Amino acid sequence: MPTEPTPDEWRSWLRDNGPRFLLFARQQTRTESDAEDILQDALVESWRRAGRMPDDALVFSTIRRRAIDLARSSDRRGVREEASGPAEPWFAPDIEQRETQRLLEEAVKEITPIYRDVVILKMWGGQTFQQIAETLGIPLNTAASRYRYAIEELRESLKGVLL
Amino acid sequence: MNEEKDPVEILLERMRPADLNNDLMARLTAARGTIAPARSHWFGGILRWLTPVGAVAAVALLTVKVLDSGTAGTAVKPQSAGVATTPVATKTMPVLVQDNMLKAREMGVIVGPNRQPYQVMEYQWVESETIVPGSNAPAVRVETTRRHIVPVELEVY
Repeated sequence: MPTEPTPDEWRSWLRDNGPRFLLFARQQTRTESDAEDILQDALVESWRRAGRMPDDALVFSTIRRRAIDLARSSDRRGVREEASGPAEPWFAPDIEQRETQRLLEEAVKEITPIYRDVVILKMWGGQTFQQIAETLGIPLNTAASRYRYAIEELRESLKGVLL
Repeated sequence: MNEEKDPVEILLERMRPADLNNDLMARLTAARGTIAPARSHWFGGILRWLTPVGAVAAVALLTVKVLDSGTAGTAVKPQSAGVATTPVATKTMPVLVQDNMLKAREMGVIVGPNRQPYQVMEYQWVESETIVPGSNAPAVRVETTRRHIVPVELEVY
C-alpha cells in the first residue's frame, strides 16, 4: 500500500530533486507545459509504485515512459504544438560567472539530443551508465559512447570560447 | 587509480539545474494528495462497468414499478355502483430520500487562474427514494446512482 509522504517530506524531496527531474523532462518533451505535466504525473506515479520515496532511477524511467506515451498520443492527434513564449532557463543563474554560464547553457542545448539525454542523466541526474542504459532502453556501451560524443561536441563548440 | 577529469566535465559540474518556479512548486506540492492509495486496476475496471449497468438497472426498476402500479389501478373496484372508474393518475411523491456514498476519488490537481491549486474530486452515491404511488399501493424504493465532479481548494504549504 503506498504511503503518502508528509507535507514536509514531500516539499523537501521536491526542492532537492525536482530541478534535475524537470531538466530531464524538458529533454523528453516538446514544450515546457508538457514537461511540467509529465513531471507531475511521473513523480506521483513513482511514489505510488515504490510505496515510499522512490529512487532516482525509477523517477527518470517513469518520466521517459510517460513522455513516450504523450508523444505517441500527440502524434495520433496530429498535434504539433511548438514552444511559445520565452524559454525557461535550464540552469540556475551564477551571478559571478554569468557569461560563462550563458555560453555553457547554449552549448549544452546544442548537443545532439540523444547524446544530451545521457549527459543530463550522468552529470545532473547522478546516474550510472548502467542506470542510464536502462532508463533510455539502450545498451550499456551505447550509453557510454553517447556520453563521450556529447563531451566531444561540447569541446568543439567551446573551443576558443571557454577552453 | 588517479583519473583526471576532463576540462569540459569540470565546467559542466559548476552548473546546477534551475530551481522549480513558484507556480510549478505550488502545483507539485498540491499533487501530494494524489499519491493516496489508488484502487487496484481490476476493481476500477469492474466499477467502470457496474456504474452504467447499475444506472440502467435503476431506470428499468423504476419503469417496471410505475407500470405495475398503473396496472393495479385498473383493478380497483368501483366505489359506487354504476360509475365507471378509470385508473387514478397517481402522483408519485417520494416520502423518504436517502443518500449512500459509494466512493470519493481524487482525479487530479488543477491550478486556477488565481494560481490556487484545486483537487478535483469525483463523488458517487446511490440516491434511494421511497415512493408511495397511491394510498393503497405498496411503497416502491427506487435507487439511482449519481456522480458529481467537484473542485476542492487545496491549502498550499
